[in-house]
Amino acid sequence: MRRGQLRVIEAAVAGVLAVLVLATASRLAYPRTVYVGYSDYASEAAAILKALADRNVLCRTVYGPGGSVAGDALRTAVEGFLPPGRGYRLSVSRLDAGRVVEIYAFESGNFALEKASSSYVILSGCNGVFEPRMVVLSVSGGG
Amino acid sequence: MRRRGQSYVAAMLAVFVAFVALLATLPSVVPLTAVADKVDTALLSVNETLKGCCAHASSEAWKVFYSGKIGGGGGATASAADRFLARARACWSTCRDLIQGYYGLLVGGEPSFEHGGSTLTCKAELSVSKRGTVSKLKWVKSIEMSIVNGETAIKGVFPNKCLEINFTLKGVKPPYVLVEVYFLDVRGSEVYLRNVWKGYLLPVSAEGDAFKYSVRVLIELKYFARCDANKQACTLQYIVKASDDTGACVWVEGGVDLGGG
Repeated sequence: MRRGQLRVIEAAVAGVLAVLVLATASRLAYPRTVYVGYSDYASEAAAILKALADRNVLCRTVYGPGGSVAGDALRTAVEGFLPPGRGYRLSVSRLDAGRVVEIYAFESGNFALEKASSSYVILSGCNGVFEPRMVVLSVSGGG
Repeated sequence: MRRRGQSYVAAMLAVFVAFVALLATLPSVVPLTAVADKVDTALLSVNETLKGCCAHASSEAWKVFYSGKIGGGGGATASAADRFLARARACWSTCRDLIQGYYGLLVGGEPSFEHGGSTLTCKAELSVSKRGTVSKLKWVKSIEMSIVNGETAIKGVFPNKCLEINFTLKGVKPPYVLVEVYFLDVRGSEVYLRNVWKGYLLPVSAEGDAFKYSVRVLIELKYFARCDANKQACTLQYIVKASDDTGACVWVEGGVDLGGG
């Protein structure tokens, strides 16, 4: 093989490899970017739930008057921590003998399920009541 | 020259493989973030359920104590402590199973619960582990209540004689303190525990880590009339119960001389 031909082959192989590297990099990097974005929403939801728990708001609103969920107060508290433009879905479920029964749910108008990520907290009760319940907060970008 | 060309290709292949390997390891880092998020909320759930169990068990202990007083039961305090421990353990057992199930992790360690009427201690040193990630959690709730003896007495004149109770609380974050005052009303063989005052109190002062509260309760004439009728000195028995913002409660018993005789 001549020297010139070898250079051409080398250049061609280098070109193919460069394309392969770029293709692989973009394929691996793209879903990662999306995944981290979703995880950020989950972290945001977790941070809001933690802030509400620290202020004992979760306890007082999830087990509201007569044991019912004080939905309006809970929604107001969540909205106070959400950055503007975020959509959200908030639900409270009773965890009863292996069954999950949703007893309260609210979804903001701009909530986009396909762009959402969630966090949840389990509570055992409040003010002497014992009834395990789960609060799920899903956050998304605008719809 | 041919060898040199081959070495170029081999070197580029090595770079390509190394780059792909580097990128391939990145996704394995990403789920760790998700795991960390889950462990964070799991710890929050552990914290919240312990808080709820402590409050629930103390409320159950109060019910036992209360009914023991009405029934004139001797070992009311002991059985209230037993009920507290049993309820707290049962509550935590249910919650631990739920947390392990919903978060897919392992919760290690056992909390300890103790209620002595005027003292309440719920504490836990737990570990939460998932896929090798271990998080430690230390949680303590401790409330202590005591009457300030020298400052608790009957004050005022008829018909506005009232009982001023001064008490201190440790371990309760003001201002959310719900206070209930009960008078023990003994009528022959029957005993009534009358709720004579209920409301939220603000501390009047702080002494170190203890907050001092004061409450004034009007004493109805019937309590004095009964003493006069008996023609002997008599004592008004009272119970003060304090609950924090989670519902965890403690109580103290006291007695004050009504005079008479």
